[in-house]
Amino acid sequence: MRANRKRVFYLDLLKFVSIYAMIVCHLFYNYYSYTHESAQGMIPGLMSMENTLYLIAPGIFIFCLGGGLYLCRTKTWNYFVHRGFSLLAIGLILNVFRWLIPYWITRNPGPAEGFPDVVFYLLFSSDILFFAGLFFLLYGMLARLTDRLWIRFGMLALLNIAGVFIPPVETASPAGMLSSAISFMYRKFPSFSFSSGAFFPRPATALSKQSETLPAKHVLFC
Amino acid sequence: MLTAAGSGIVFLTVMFLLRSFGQNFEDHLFWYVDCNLWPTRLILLLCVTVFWTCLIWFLARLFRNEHVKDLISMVSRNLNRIYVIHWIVIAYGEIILFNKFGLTLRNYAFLIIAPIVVFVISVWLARVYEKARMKFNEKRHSAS
Repeated sequence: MRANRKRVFYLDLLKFVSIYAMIVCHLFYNYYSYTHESAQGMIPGLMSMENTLYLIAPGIFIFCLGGGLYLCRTKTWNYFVHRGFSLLAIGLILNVFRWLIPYWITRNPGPAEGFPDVVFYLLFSSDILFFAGLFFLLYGMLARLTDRLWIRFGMLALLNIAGVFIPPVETASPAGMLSSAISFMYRKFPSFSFSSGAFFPRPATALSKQSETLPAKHVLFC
Repeated sequence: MLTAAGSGIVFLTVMFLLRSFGQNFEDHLFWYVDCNLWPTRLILLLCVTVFWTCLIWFLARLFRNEHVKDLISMVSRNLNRIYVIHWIVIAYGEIILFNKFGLTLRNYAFLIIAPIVVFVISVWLARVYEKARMKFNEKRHSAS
Protein backbone atom coordinates (compact mmCIF):
# COMPACT_ATOMS: atom_id res chain seq x y z
CA MET A 1 0.00 0.00 0.00
CA ARG A 2 2.34 2.69 1.19
CA ALA A 3 5.37 0.38 1.37
CA ASN A 4 7.31 2.41 -1.16
CA ARG A 5 7.22 5.54 1.03
CA LYS A 6 10.28 6.13 3.14
CA ARG A 7 9.67 6.20 6.87
CA VAL A 8 11.78 6.94 9.91
CA PHE A 9 11.33 3.87 12.11
CA TYR A 10 12.31 5.59 15.34
CA LEU A 11 9.65 8.24 14.89
CA ASP A 12 7.05 5.61 14.02
CA LEU A 13 7.98 3.65 17.14
CA LEU A 14 7.78 6.72 19.32
CA LYS A 15 4.36 7.55 17.89
CA PHE A 16 3.25 3.96 18.54
CA VAL A 17 4.31 4.22 22.16
CA SER A 18 2.85 7.70 22.52
CA ILE A 19 -0.63 6.80 21.29
CA TYR A 20 -0.73 3.81 23.63
CA ALA A 21 0.41 5.99 26.52
CA MET A 22 -2.28 8.56 25.66
CA ILE A 23 -4.93 5.83 25.66
CA VAL A 24 -3.84 4.79 29.15
CA CYS A 25 -3.90 8.43 30.24
CA HIS A 26 -7.40 9.02 28.93
CA LEU A 27 -8.67 5.82 30.50
CA PHE A 28 -7.29 7.00 33.82
CA TYR A 29 -8.92 10.37 33.30
CA ASN A 30 -12.35 9.01 32.37
CA TYR A 31 -12.73 5.94 34.48
CA TYR A 32 -10.65 6.84 37.49
CA SER A 33 -11.03 10.56 37.84
CA TYR A 34 -10.50 12.02 41.26
CA THR A 35 -14.21 12.70 41.37
CA HIS A 36 -14.86 8.97 41.59
CA GLU A 37 -14.40 8.63 45.31
CA SER A 38 -15.08 4.91 45.22
CA ALA A 39 -12.34 4.36 42.65
CA GLN A 40 -9.85 6.33 44.69
CA GLY A 41 -10.52 4.25 47.73
CA MET A 42 -10.42 0.94 45.91
CA ILE A 43 -7.14 1.55 44.08
CA PRO A 44 -4.39 2.82 46.39
CA GLY A 45 -1.82 5.06 44.77
CA LEU A 46 -4.11 5.84 41.85
CA MET A 47 -3.73 9.61 42.03
CA SER A 48 0.08 9.43 42.01
CA MET A 49 -0.02 7.07 39.02
CA GLU A 50 -2.37 9.40 37.16
CA ASN A 51 -0.17 12.40 37.89
CA THR A 52 2.93 10.53 36.72
CA LEU A 53 1.27 9.46 33.49
CA TYR A 54 0.12 12.98 32.74
CA LEU A 55 3.73 14.12 33.02
CA ILE A 56 5.01 11.56 30.52
CA ALA A 57 2.35 10.65 27.95
CA PRO A 58 1.37 14.08 26.55
CA GLY A 59 5.04 15.03 26.44
CA ILE A 60 5.90 12.10 24.21
CA PHE A 61 2.87 12.79 22.02
CA ILE A 62 3.71 16.44 21.55
CA PHE A 63 7.38 15.60 21.06
CA CYS A 64 6.34 13.42 18.10
CA LEU A 65 4.27 16.27 16.74
CA GLY A 66 7.26 18.57 16.92
CA GLY A 67 9.36 15.95 15.21
CA GLY A 68 6.84 15.53 12.44
CA LEU A 69 6.66 19.29 12.03
CA TYR A 70 10.30 19.33 11.04
CA LEU A 71 9.69 16.64 8.45
CA CYS A 72 7.09 18.76 6.64
CA ARG A 73 9.14 21.93 6.94
CA THR A 74 9.05 22.69 3.20
CA LYS A 75 5.28 23.11 3.18
CA THR A 76 3.90 26.61 2.64
CA TRP A 77 2.42 28.75 5.38
CA ASN A 78 -1.18 28.33 4.19
CA TYR A 79 -0.79 24.56 4.53
CA PHE A 80 -0.13 24.94 8.26
CA VAL A 81 -2.94 27.45 8.70
CA HIS A 82 -5.34 25.11 6.88
CA ARG A 83 -4.29 22.19 9.05
CA GLY A 84 -4.64 24.31 12.16
CA PHE A 85 -8.24 25.16 11.37
CA SER A 86 -8.93 21.53 10.43
CA LEU A 87 -7.63 20.31 13.77
CA LEU A 88 -9.72 22.86 15.66
CA ALA A 89 -12.82 21.77 13.76
CA ILE A 90 -12.08 18.09 14.42
CA GLY A 91 -11.62 18.89 18.10
CA LEU A 92 -14.99 20.62 18.32
CA ILE A 93 -16.79 17.78 16.53
CA LEU A 94 -15.04 15.23 18.71
CA ASN A 95 -16.12 17.09 21.84
CA VAL A 96 -19.72 16.72 20.74
CA PHE A 97 -19.42 12.95 20.43
CA ARG A 98 -17.18 12.23 23.40
CA TRP A 99 -18.51 14.71 25.99
CA LEU A 100 -21.86 16.27 25.04
CA ILE A 101 -23.76 13.23 23.80
CA PRO A 102 -22.54 10.91 26.62
CA TYR A 103 -23.37 13.65 29.12
CA TRP A 104 -26.87 13.89 27.70
CA ILE A 105 -27.29 10.10 27.77
CA THR A 106 -26.05 9.60 31.31
CA ARG A 107 -27.27 12.73 33.07
CA ASN A 108 -30.29 13.77 30.98
CA PRO A 109 -30.08 17.33 32.28
CA GLY A 110 -32.79 19.92 32.11
CA PRO A 111 -32.78 23.72 32.06
CA ALA A 112 -32.81 23.86 35.87
CA GLU A 113 -29.34 22.27 35.98
CA GLY A 114 -27.69 25.02 33.96
CA PHE A 115 -27.45 22.90 30.85
CA PRO A 116 -26.34 25.75 28.54
CA ASP A 117 -23.28 26.39 30.75
CA VAL A 118 -22.38 22.73 30.69
CA VAL A 119 -22.77 22.68 26.91
CA PHE A 120 -20.28 25.53 26.54
CA TYR A 121 -17.82 23.94 28.95
CA LEU A 122 -17.99 20.51 27.34
CA LEU A 123 -17.95 21.77 23.76
CA PHE A 124 -14.85 23.89 24.27
CA SER A 125 -13.08 21.50 26.58
CA SER A 126 -9.57 21.78 25.25
CA ASP A 127 -7.18 18.96 24.72
CA ILE A 128 -4.32 18.10 22.43
CA LEU A 129 -6.28 18.65 19.22
CA PHE A 130 -6.95 22.27 20.18
CA PHE A 131 -3.38 22.78 21.28
CA ALA A 132 -2.08 21.23 18.07
CA GLY A 133 -4.47 23.30 15.95
CA LEU A 134 -3.51 26.56 17.60
CA PHE A 135 0.13 25.60 17.40
CA PHE A 136 -0.15 24.95 13.67
CA LEU A 137 -1.82 28.33 13.22
CA LEU A 138 1.03 29.98 15.10
CA TYR A 139 3.62 28.06 13.10
CA GLY A 140 1.84 29.01 9.88
CA MET A 141 2.13 32.69 10.82
CA LEU A 142 5.83 32.22 11.57
CA ALA A 143 6.27 30.44 8.23
CA ARG A 144 4.61 33.42 6.55
CA LEU A 145 7.12 35.75 8.18
CA THR A 146 10.31 33.85 7.41
CA ASP A 147 11.62 30.87 5.46
CA ARG A 148 14.51 30.35 7.81
CA LEU A 149 13.88 27.30 9.98
CA TRP A 150 16.22 28.34 12.74
CA ILE A 151 14.30 31.59 13.22
CA ARG A 152 10.98 29.77 13.37
CA PHE A 153 12.07 27.14 15.85
CA GLY A 154 14.18 29.62 17.75
CA MET A 155 11.15 31.86 18.32
CA LEU A 156 9.13 28.86 19.44
CA ALA A 157 11.87 27.87 21.87
CA LEU A 158 11.96 31.44 23.25
CA LEU A 159 8.20 31.39 23.75
CA ASN A 160 8.52 28.07 25.55
CA ILE A 161 11.15 29.48 27.90
CA ALA A 162 9.17 32.67 28.46
CA GLY A 163 6.20 30.56 29.46
CA VAL A 164 8.04 29.37 32.53
CA PHE A 165 7.97 32.90 33.97
CA ILE A 166 4.38 33.78 33.11
CA PRO A 167 1.57 32.82 35.48
CA PRO A 168 -0.66 30.03 34.15
CA VAL A 169 -3.84 31.13 32.42
CA GLU A 170 -7.19 29.44 32.80
CA THR A 171 -7.44 27.19 29.77
CA ALA A 172 -11.22 27.35 29.64
CA SER A 173 -10.82 30.69 27.89
CA PRO A 174 -9.48 31.37 24.37
CA ALA A 175 -6.49 33.21 25.86
CA GLY A 176 -5.71 30.24 28.03
CA MET A 177 -5.90 27.82 25.15
CA LEU A 178 -3.60 30.03 23.06
CA SER A 179 -1.07 30.37 25.84
CA SER A 180 -1.10 26.63 26.38
CA ALA A 181 -0.61 26.01 22.67
CA ILE A 182 2.43 28.26 22.52
CA SER A 183 4.37 26.89 25.40
CA PHE A 184 2.96 27.56 28.78
CA MET A 185 2.69 24.84 31.29
CA TYR A 186 -0.95 24.00 31.68
CA ARG A 187 -1.06 21.83 34.73
CA LYS A 188 1.38 19.16 33.64
CA PHE A 189 1.18 19.70 29.89
CA PRO A 190 4.77 19.88 28.66
CA SER A 191 4.33 22.02 25.59
CA PHE A 192 8.07 22.63 25.30
CA SER A 193 8.23 19.31 23.50
CA PHE A 194 6.72 20.99 20.45
CA SER A 195 9.94 22.77 19.54
CA SER A 196 12.33 20.28 21.10
CA GLY A 197 10.81 17.44 19.08
CA ALA A 198 11.52 19.33 15.87
CA PHE A 199 15.20 18.53 16.27
CA PHE A 200 14.65 14.87 16.96
CA PRO A 201 14.26 13.64 13.35
CA ARG A 202 17.58 15.18 12.38
CA PRO A 203 19.74 12.65 14.22
CA ALA A 204 17.26 9.90 13.39
CA THR A 205 17.36 10.62 9.67
CA ALA A 206 21.12 11.10 9.75
CA LEU A 207 21.52 7.68 11.36
CA SER A 208 19.30 6.10 8.73
CA LYS A 209 21.01 8.03 5.93
CA GLN A 210 17.79 9.73 4.91
CA SER A 211 18.19 13.43 4.55
CA GLU A 212 15.36 14.42 2.21
CA THR A 213 11.97 15.58 3.38
CA LEU A 214 9.53 12.77 3.94
CA PRO A 215 5.95 12.73 2.63
CA ALA A 216 3.47 14.77 4.63
CA LYS A 217 1.34 11.75 5.55
CA HIS A 218 4.21 10.55 7.72
CA VAL A 219 3.73 13.50 10.02
CA LEU A 220 1.63 13.44 13.16
CA PHE A 221 -1.53 15.48 12.58
CA CYS A 222 -0.21 16.64 9.16
CA MET B 1 11.86 -14.13 24.75
CA LEU B 2 12.51 -17.12 26.99
CA THR B 3 15.49 -15.36 28.53
CA ALA B 4 13.43 -12.27 29.30
CA ALA B 5 10.61 -14.36 30.75
CA GLY B 6 13.03 -16.49 32.73
CA SER B 7 14.82 -13.53 34.24
CA GLY B 8 11.46 -11.98 35.08
CA ILE B 9 10.46 -15.15 36.89
CA VAL B 10 13.76 -15.19 38.79
CA PHE B 11 13.27 -11.57 39.80
CA LEU B 12 9.72 -12.12 41.01
CA THR B 13 10.73 -15.27 42.86
CA VAL B 14 13.52 -13.48 44.69
CA MET B 15 11.13 -10.68 45.62
CA PHE B 16 8.57 -13.13 46.90
CA LEU B 17 11.11 -15.09 48.93
CA LEU B 18 12.54 -12.00 50.56
CA ARG B 19 9.12 -10.69 51.46
CA SER B 20 8.12 -14.01 52.91
CA PHE B 21 11.12 -13.90 55.31
CA GLY B 22 9.57 -11.00 57.16
CA GLN B 23 11.62 -8.10 55.87
CA ASN B 24 10.18 -4.71 56.72
CA PHE B 25 9.27 -3.60 53.19
CA GLU B 26 6.75 -0.93 52.31
CA ASP B 27 3.84 -2.19 50.27
CA HIS B 28 4.34 -0.26 47.05
CA LEU B 29 5.81 -0.78 43.63
CA PHE B 30 9.46 0.03 44.38
CA TRP B 31 9.60 -1.54 47.81
CA TYR B 32 13.02 -3.09 47.29
CA VAL B 33 14.82 0.24 47.38
CA ASP B 34 13.76 0.59 51.02
CA CYS B 35 15.88 -2.37 52.00
CA ASN B 36 18.69 -1.41 54.39
CA LEU B 37 20.66 -4.64 54.06
CA TRP B 38 23.34 -4.10 51.42
CA PRO B 39 23.75 -7.74 50.35
CA THR B 40 20.02 -8.02 49.79
CA ARG B 41 19.93 -4.73 47.94
CA LEU B 42 22.85 -5.83 45.78
CA ILE B 43 21.15 -9.08 44.84
CA LEU B 44 17.92 -7.32 44.07
CA LEU B 45 19.63 -4.70 41.94
CA LEU B 46 21.43 -7.44 40.04
CA CYS B 47 18.14 -9.23 39.37
CA VAL B 48 16.49 -6.00 38.26
CA THR B 49 19.38 -5.20 35.91
CA VAL B 50 19.28 -8.66 34.36
CA PHE B 51 15.53 -8.48 33.97
CA TRP B 52 15.45 -5.11 32.24
CA THR B 53 18.45 -5.92 30.05
CA CYS B 54 16.77 -9.09 28.83
CA LEU B 55 13.52 -7.23 28.27
CA ILE B 56 15.21 -4.53 26.18
CA TRP B 57 17.08 -7.18 24.20
CA PHE B 58 13.83 -9.01 23.56
CA LEU B 59 12.08 -5.84 22.41
CA ALA B 60 15.00 -5.00 20.11
CA ARG B 61 14.68 -8.43 18.50
CA LEU B 62 10.93 -8.02 18.27
CA PHE B 63 11.19 -4.74 16.41
CA ARG B 64 13.27 -6.38 13.68
CA ASN B 65 10.32 -8.55 12.76
CA GLU B 66 8.72 -7.32 9.54
CA HIS B 67 5.17 -7.91 10.75
CA VAL B 68 5.83 -5.87 13.86
CA LYS B 69 7.37 -3.12 11.74
CA ASP B 70 4.32 -3.12 9.47
CA LEU B 71 2.02 -2.86 12.48
CA ILE B 72 4.01 0.03 13.91
CA SER B 73 4.03 1.76 10.54
CA MET B 74 0.28 1.27 10.13
CA VAL B 75 -0.45 2.70 13.57
CA SER B 76 1.79 5.67 12.82
CA ARG B 77 0.05 6.34 9.48
CA ASN B 78 -3.40 6.25 11.07
CA LEU B 79 -2.47 8.06 14.26
CA ASN B 80 -5.02 10.87 13.97
CA ARG B 81 -7.82 8.40 13.18
CA ILE B 82 -6.82 6.17 16.10
CA TYR B 83 -6.80 9.20 18.39
CA VAL B 84 -10.33 10.18 17.42
CA ILE B 85 -11.66 6.62 17.49
CA HIS B 86 -10.22 5.78 20.87
CA TRP B 87 -12.02 8.69 22.48
CA ILE B 88 -15.33 7.43 21.07
CA VAL B 89 -14.58 3.90 22.27
CA ILE B 90 -13.75 5.12 25.77
CA ALA B 91 -16.76 7.43 26.05
CA TYR B 92 -19.36 4.91 24.90
CA GLY B 93 -17.58 1.96 26.46
CA GLU B 94 -18.00 3.74 29.78
CA ILE B 95 -21.70 4.20 29.16
CA ILE B 96 -22.20 0.58 28.14
CA LEU B 97 -20.10 -1.05 30.85
CA PHE B 98 -20.66 1.15 33.85
CA ASN B 99 -24.03 2.79 33.29
CA LYS B 100 -25.88 0.12 31.32
CA PHE B 101 -24.50 -3.04 32.93
CA GLY B 102 -23.47 -1.50 36.23
CA LEU B 103 -20.01 -3.06 36.28
CA THR B 104 -17.56 -1.89 38.91
CA LEU B 105 -14.32 -3.24 37.52
CA ARG B 106 -12.18 -0.57 39.09
CA ASN B 107 -9.05 -2.47 40.00
CA TYR B 108 -5.52 -3.05 38.75
CA ALA B 109 -6.51 -5.89 36.42
CA PHE B 110 -8.92 -3.63 34.57
CA LEU B 111 -6.28 -0.92 34.42
CA ILE B 112 -4.01 -3.32 32.53
CA ILE B 113 -6.60 -4.95 30.29
CA ALA B 114 -8.71 -1.93 29.34
CA PRO B 115 -5.97 0.04 27.51
CA ILE B 116 -5.06 -3.02 25.47
CA VAL B 117 -8.69 -3.62 24.51
CA VAL B 118 -9.27 0.03 23.60
CA PHE B 119 -6.03 0.13 21.62
CA VAL B 120 -6.84 -3.02 19.65
CA ILE B 121 -10.38 -1.87 18.85
CA SER B 122 -9.17 1.58 17.79
CA VAL B 123 -6.40 0.22 15.56
CA TRP B 124 -8.76 -2.31 14.01
CA LEU B 125 -11.42 0.33 13.24
CA ALA B 126 -8.79 2.67 11.81
CA ARG B 127 -7.52 -0.13 9.61
CA VAL B 128 -11.05 -0.89 8.38
CA TYR B 129 -11.52 2.77 7.55
CA GLU B 130 -8.16 2.92 5.74
CA LYS B 131 -9.00 -0.12 3.61
CA ALA B 132 -12.45 1.20 2.79
CA ARG B 133 -11.02 4.54 1.76
CA MET B 134 -8.40 2.89 -0.44
CA LYS B 135 -11.08 0.80 -2.15
CA PHE B 136 -13.18 3.90 -2.70
CA ASN B 137 -10.20 5.75 -4.21
CA GLU B 138 -9.38 2.82 -6.47
CA LYS B 139 -12.95 2.66 -7.74
CA ARG B 140 -12.98 6.38 -8.37
CA HIS B 141 -9.70 6.20 -10.29
CA SER B 142 -10.82 3.22 -12.34
CA ALA B 143 -14.14 4.93 -13.11
CA SER B 144 -12.40 8.08 -14.30
